[in-house]
This record gives sequence, structure tokens and C-alpha cells, in this order.
Amino acid sequence: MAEPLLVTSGLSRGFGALKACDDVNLDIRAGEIHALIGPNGAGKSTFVKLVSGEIGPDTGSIHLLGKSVETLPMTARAGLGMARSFQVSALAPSMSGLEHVVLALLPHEGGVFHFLRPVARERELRDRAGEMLARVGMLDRAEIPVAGLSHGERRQLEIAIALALEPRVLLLDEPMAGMGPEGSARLAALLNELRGDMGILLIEHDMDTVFALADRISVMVGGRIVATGNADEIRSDETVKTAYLGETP
Amino acid sequence: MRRDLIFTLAAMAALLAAGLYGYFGDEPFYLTLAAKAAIFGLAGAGLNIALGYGGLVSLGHAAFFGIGGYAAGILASHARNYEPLMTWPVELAGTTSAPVIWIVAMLAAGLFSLPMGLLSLRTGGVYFIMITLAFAQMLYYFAVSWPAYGGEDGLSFYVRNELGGLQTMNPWIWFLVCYAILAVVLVLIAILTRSRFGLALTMARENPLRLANLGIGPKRVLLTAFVISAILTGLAGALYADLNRFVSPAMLSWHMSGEIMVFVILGGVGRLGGPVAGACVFILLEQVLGGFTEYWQFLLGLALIIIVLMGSGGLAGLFDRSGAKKGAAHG
Repeated sequence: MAEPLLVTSGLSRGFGALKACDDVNLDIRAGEIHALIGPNGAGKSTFVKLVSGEIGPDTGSIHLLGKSVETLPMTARAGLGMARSFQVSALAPSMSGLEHVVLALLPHEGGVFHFLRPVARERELRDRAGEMLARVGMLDRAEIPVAGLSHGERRQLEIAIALALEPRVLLLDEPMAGMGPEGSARLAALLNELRGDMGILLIEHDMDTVFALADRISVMVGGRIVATGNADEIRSDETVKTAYLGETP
Repeated sequence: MRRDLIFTLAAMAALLAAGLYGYFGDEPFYLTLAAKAAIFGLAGAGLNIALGYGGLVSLGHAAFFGIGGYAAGILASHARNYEPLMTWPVELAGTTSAPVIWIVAMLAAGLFSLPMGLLSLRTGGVYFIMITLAFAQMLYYFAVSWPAYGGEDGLSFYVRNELGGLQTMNPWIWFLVCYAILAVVLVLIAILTRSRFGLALTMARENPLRLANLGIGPKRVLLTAFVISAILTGLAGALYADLNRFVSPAMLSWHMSGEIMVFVILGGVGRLGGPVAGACVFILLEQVLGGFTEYWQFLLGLALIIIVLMGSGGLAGLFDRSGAKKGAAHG
């Protein structure tokens, strides 16, 4: 079996007395959707922040495509092929969706240090950005400033931006939160389609979606991974039932 | 975007009208005021790149304004006294050629802004304001205590520098020179804000974390904007020195930084024509209110408070809202 795209070993990070992530070992393989579930405050978002480089770990290592990246800044990790959607949409209110996606394409297309040519005339970039927006069903809303988009539309835009980075590893922190059933269904279909091209870490609360989509599921409770396995294994796991699914044996 | 353009054209038209009034009414004093407004507008347009487009609240732009001014003053005074600027390792003479002086002024301001920006950008918020202020004050006290170029008394140079065969001492010609430079710079800024860099700069202001996440370092983008901003304010400083044929440490003091910031806030932060409108209104208030009372700055402060409380956006914001209301009435 091929080397996983992303491997964390013994990854820990505390905030004061709280161990938000405690000795987390997790890997994402090429072509899989690996779901990370757990109750609120389990440390899932902290884990995404550690992996993407927004915060640094206390101990432990992160390997991306075989390279040790735990000391690299966020920009370098993005350059190596990691993309992330934010749990709370992180967008520029005055910029349109299309501009967001164009900006995401720029690092691979000669960079941003071009001062004279108007972006409006970069036909090829705009066409490609338009394709990304079409994949998430946002093409007809492409030119509207983000301030005028609904919460669900912003979530969709987050995905389009992540796609534009052509990532090998995609970290999705509750991408469907606030999306509505139609948007969620479309996103689920899109993730299913993307699965072959990249490894995806999916943090999601909706269990039906998780069990339908994920190849593997890890359960996080109190900063620790308590179980990893496929949907059937997780459903029948006793620790998970007591700790998370709320069933008493 | 379109309202921004209309507002900019309106501000530039008003400034030109003031100049024309001075020319046809044979009032050189008004021409000098109009040239001053163009220069202040240019200094503000420079600051606006950092403050408006980059969200960097710099209270140190007097440093660049003063560097530009001293570059002009020092080069011209050496040329007029026939003293070389330096003799080692190469002999460099002064010059009275305005284009050369402008380029030197812009280079000097840009070079100084690099370490200043690098250090200031390590911080944010109120610390950024304080560090930029500290840099400018450092230069101010240096200029006060450095005797070679007049120290506290400043440096006079009697005749404006040379630009081709133009009569630069003619107030009408000098106004047109300043006005043309301002117009060119505004066009360049409009192009810049629509470029790839403009897109990245907007994201660096509104969401630096996201920009980093896209693999683009926000600090490099912001530092570039800070340097461009300094270069333009430095150019304005050189023009201002030539306008007055005098430079003094006052150009470097924090009052000057504050005034440049007032032009931007009064006119409209992040609006192309904002600093021009702000500078025009500032000078108008100075002249009109200054005629009634020497405490006119109290009234200026009052006007500033009212404009800021009426919603950010300054004069440009008021212009937008009046247009929106009219549009609603018609619709």
C-alpha cells in the first residue's frame, strides 16, 4: 500500500491545563475520505489548525507527502498541496466569489506580484475560476461581493476556493454547517466525485452524511482518538457508543 | 467602482477649477493654494495605499514626506553652492533638475520605508501606529539636531528646480506640473487596485489568514504596499519643498503625519479620489475659517468628528449616500 498523504504522530497541543489535542495519530490516504467526528470541544478544530499550520504543536510530528512540515508556516504547507476550508467562513466581504477563486489560482499562475494588468482581462483565469464555482453550484452568483452572499453560499465558496488550490490533501472543517439540505446533498455528491483525486479529512456532525461518505472514521473524545475504522466498525464499537453516540450498553 | 470614478473626477475637476480661477482671475495666491492642495492630495494618495487599501494605520508618513523634501532641498542647495554632495568613493554633485530630484526623493523614501515596514509589520494594531510614529520622530529629531542643512531653522533655496524649459517659478505652470503628476499617480493607483496585486492586497487587509492559507504571504504583500505608499508620499514631499522653496523639520513632525491622515479620513479611506477631496477641503477650511479665527483647527476637528460619526467613508461616503438617495427617489 502506498505511503499515506498525511500522517500525524503523537500530535499534542494544550491550552493551559486543557489538552485540546492529546497524542493524536491519524493518517489520510490517497483517494479516501477520512471523517473525524466527536462531540463539541473534542479538539477537532484544534487538530485542523495544527495540521494546516495556523497554530504550532507542543509535541509530535506532521508528515505531508513524506516531508516533515510541523515547523513550516502555513504558506509553505499550502504550497506543498494542502488546502483547508474554514469552519467560520474566512472571506473578504468586499471581494466577489470569482475574485476569491481567481486569487486562489494565482500562486500556481505566476504569483500576485503583477501590478499593471487588470484581473478583469485575465480571461483564462476567470474561466477556470468559473469552472470551480460551477462545480459547487455558485456560477450564477460569481460576481456578487461576499457581503451579499448567504451563509450557505459562503460555505460553497469556501469549497470552490479549496478546489482552486488543486490540493493533494483537503481539510474540511464542518463544510456543510448552515448549508441547507440541497446544498449539503450537492456537496456530498461533489466530495464523492473528488475522492479519487485527493485525500480528504472531513469534520462533520451529520452522522448520516459521515456514514454514507467516509471510507474511514476516527472518533475524537477529549482530545484523543478513541477509535478508527470503517462505518460498520465504528457503529459497533463499544467505546464509541458510550463516549459519543450516547448509547449505554 | 463607478461611483469611485465619478467622485475622483469631481474632486479633480474642483481642484482644476480652483487653479483656473487663480489663473484667469490673476490671483497667484490661489494658484499656490491649489498647487498645495494637489501636493497634499498626492501625499494622501500615497498614504491611502497603506491606510485605505492595506489597512495599515501609519502615523509615520511625515518621514517619507520629509525625506522627499530634504532630498530636493539638499540636492538643490549643493548644486547652487557648487559643493559636491560627496567626494568619496565617487564624486557626486548636487542637481537642480526636477526629474532627477523626484527620482532620488522616491528612492530615498522607498529605501527608508523598507526597514521601517519590516519592523512595523511584525506588530499590528496600536503597536503598528506607535512604531511608525517612532520612526518618523527619530528622523525629526535627527533633522533638528543636524546642523549641516539648517537644523531647526530649515533650508531655503530661493528658486524652484528645473523641469525642461518650463517656467517653474510661474505659479500657473507649477500648479499644472503638480496637477499633472497627481493625475498620473491616481491613474496608476486605479490600475494597481485592479491588478493581481490589488486583489491580494484587499485580501491581506480583510482576511490575512485566508491569504496565507492560499499560499500567499500577507506580510510580503503589505510590505510592498507600504513601500509604494512611501514612494508616492516622498514624491509629494519633493514637490512641496519646491513649492515653498524651503524645507524644515516641520515636514517630518508627527503633526504632518496627522495632517496627511486627516486628508485621507476626511476625503474617504480607501477611495481613489478621497485624499484629493480631503486635501482640498482641508485647505479651504484653513483659509475660510482661518480668516475668522486663529483657532480654526478647533472647527476642523469638529468637522472631522461629524464626518466620521456620520459613518466612515468621509466625503466620498457622503457623496455615495446622496447619490443613492437620489436614485431611490427616481426609482
